[in-house]
Amino acid sequence: MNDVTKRETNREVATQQEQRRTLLPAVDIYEQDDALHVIADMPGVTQESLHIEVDQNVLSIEGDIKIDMPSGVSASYAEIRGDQYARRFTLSHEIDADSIQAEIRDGVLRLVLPKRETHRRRRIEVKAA
Amino acid sequence: MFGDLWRSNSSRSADFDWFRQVMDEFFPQATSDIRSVPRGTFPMINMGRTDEAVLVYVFAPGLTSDELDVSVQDNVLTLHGRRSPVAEEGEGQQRAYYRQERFSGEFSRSVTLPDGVDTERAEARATNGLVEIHLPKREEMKPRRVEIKTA
Repeated sequence: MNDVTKRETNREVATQQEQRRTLLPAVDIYEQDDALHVIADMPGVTQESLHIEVDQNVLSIEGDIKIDMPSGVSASYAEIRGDQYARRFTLSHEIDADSIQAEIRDGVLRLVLPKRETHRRRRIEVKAA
Repeated sequence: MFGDLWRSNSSRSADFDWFRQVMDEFFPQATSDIRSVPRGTFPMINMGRTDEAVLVYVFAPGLTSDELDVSVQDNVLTLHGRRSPVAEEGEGQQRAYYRQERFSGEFSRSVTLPDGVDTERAEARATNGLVEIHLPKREEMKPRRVEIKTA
């Protein structure tokens, strides 16, 4: 009898892991002369639970939502139904992937994707005739 | 983390949820709470309860404590504030936007709390853009164990 219950809980844990829910964070993306900027809303993500990776020109942003909830909380209403955020972007070749900077503060991630020197915008002088 | 929270909801898949949302929009015969707002309204809220308290989680990324105003009147919790757009660093530089999905500007949202909450003892604390509002239940609303006496 006891054995059966134990197996049940194991299965419960397994399905729970499969059903990890991923949310798409809202982002702002803009470009300036020397870099692309990505700002993402990721409330509940800490510096430790955030993973940023560039692999073959794909930038992936992932973060687990860490919430300190007291034990025995039962839900009554939920608009955020997920335990992690994830989003991917393809980068163009002019981004210098080695010098990407990231910072997360109050649940807002800021990424600076610098352009390679050779790809920066140049101003062209217009000479008077 | 919010595994328990979403499991309490009837729909199991996000696709189904989306479908239901579309259905609700086209066939609005179902009654909805007078204070309900469309999905995705900033800031998003989760609510839970324990035997001791009602917990409200406000997803307010990038808001400092003076940018978010939390108040309770009767049984209505109101969140009011303003989220400023991205700081203008690198002034003078041209800025071309590709995506602008993040909310900015003024917001005000109210939610009805369950009965029996002691609003006097409410506390709120913010971590990583998430504000937890702890509203203790009044003594008489807490579950009570009933002793069974032997005859």
